[in-house]
Amino acid sequence: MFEDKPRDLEEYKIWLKQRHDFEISDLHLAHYERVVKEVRRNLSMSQFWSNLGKELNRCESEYYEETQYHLFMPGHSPGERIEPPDWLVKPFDSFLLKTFRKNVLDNKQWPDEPHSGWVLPVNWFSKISDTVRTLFVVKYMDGVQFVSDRIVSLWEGHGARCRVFLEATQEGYYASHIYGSQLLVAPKIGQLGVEEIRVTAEIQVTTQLQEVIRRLLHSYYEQRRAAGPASTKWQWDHKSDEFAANYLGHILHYVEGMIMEIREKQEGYR
Amino acid sequence: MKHEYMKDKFLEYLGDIGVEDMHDKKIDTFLGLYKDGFGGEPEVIFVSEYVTPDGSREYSSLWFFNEKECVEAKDFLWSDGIDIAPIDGRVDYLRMQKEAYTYENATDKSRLYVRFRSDSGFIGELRASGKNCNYLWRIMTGYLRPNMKRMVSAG
Repeated sequence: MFEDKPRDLEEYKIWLKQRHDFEISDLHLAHYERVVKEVRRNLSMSQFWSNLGKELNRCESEYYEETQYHLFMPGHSPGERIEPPDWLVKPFDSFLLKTFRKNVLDNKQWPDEPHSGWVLPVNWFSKISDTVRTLFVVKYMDGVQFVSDRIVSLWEGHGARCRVFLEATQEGYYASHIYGSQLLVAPKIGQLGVEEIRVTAEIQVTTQLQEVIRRLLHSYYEQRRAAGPASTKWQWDHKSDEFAANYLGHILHYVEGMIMEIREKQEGYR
Repeated sequence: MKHEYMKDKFLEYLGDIGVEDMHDKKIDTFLGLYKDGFGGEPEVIFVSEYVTPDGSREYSSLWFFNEKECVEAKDFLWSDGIDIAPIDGRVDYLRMQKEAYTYENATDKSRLYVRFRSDSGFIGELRASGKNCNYLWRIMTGYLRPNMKRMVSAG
């Protein structure tokens, strides 16, 4: 039995087997891929998604009319069709890594279960909210709330239960996260019968500067997450990559705020 | 509809289990992929499917079997990939679960689940409902059970 924390994914899989009697196998991989692909398909072919394209174009027109600035990248002119982005699915390895972080690396209650409960194959779809996600990028900071409100209104109008969070983390991450869930039926893993699974999809809305940072640092963040908490707080480790990356995120958010300030002053002069 | 690779017995099977005509072409494409890409010929084909609580049928994988190997096209209506695994004398695990089904005697309520593992590490899951249970039973008894590894005793 593990008293020390598993140090990597292989030890984590052994821990799952010994502690919770779950042996992660290709069956879980196949099940996961079947579920997330079906969710992505359902979303991509939904009336909500089809109507969202028209809604985005309305957003662009209204925002331009109000501010004389374009909402989306690149500089679409009113009437030029804007298409929603593609839905992406989280690879199974990344998904398993996330459960490893929640159950072990970030678990302050270790060796007891985390405050929000263990994340296990029986419930992991309901506890991990970004297995299927997409990203909208706007030019200006106020565009985040503007677009998020419209997406939520439309999605709820199509029957989804939505939750919205304006994320602002210590690590310099700024974005709106919108979660909508759907119920689907999938075969049970490794046995006869089917079960209902509630799966949540995530829509992120962020600014173009924040999106540039994310792209540059995404693979770095994944590696850091897999390694677990560092011994020294990054805010005091000026030589660490985290120090530069995280403060860059904060600085860019501040710059975006200043851009809004200047823009609004200019609007006041008109 | 003209098919390039579909045999009559495969069409008969698909018709017997009620697979919609529109899916024939996709299945024919996979048959062509297996034959032209890998030189393979299936002896039987099988559509793994399950019934949801509201009574609708969902198709998941398309399977081909011959005496040497099995082929799985996961999510075959939407994807284009296949997995091929050897089975001749190499099945080292077989599990079967059934509901409201006796050998070759299927009703609408019958359900059959078969899971097997090849010593290559490949794991296959096949699901059937209604009449399809009879076909799955024949695959289990004709291709999986006979290919189970024999235990060799020492001395």
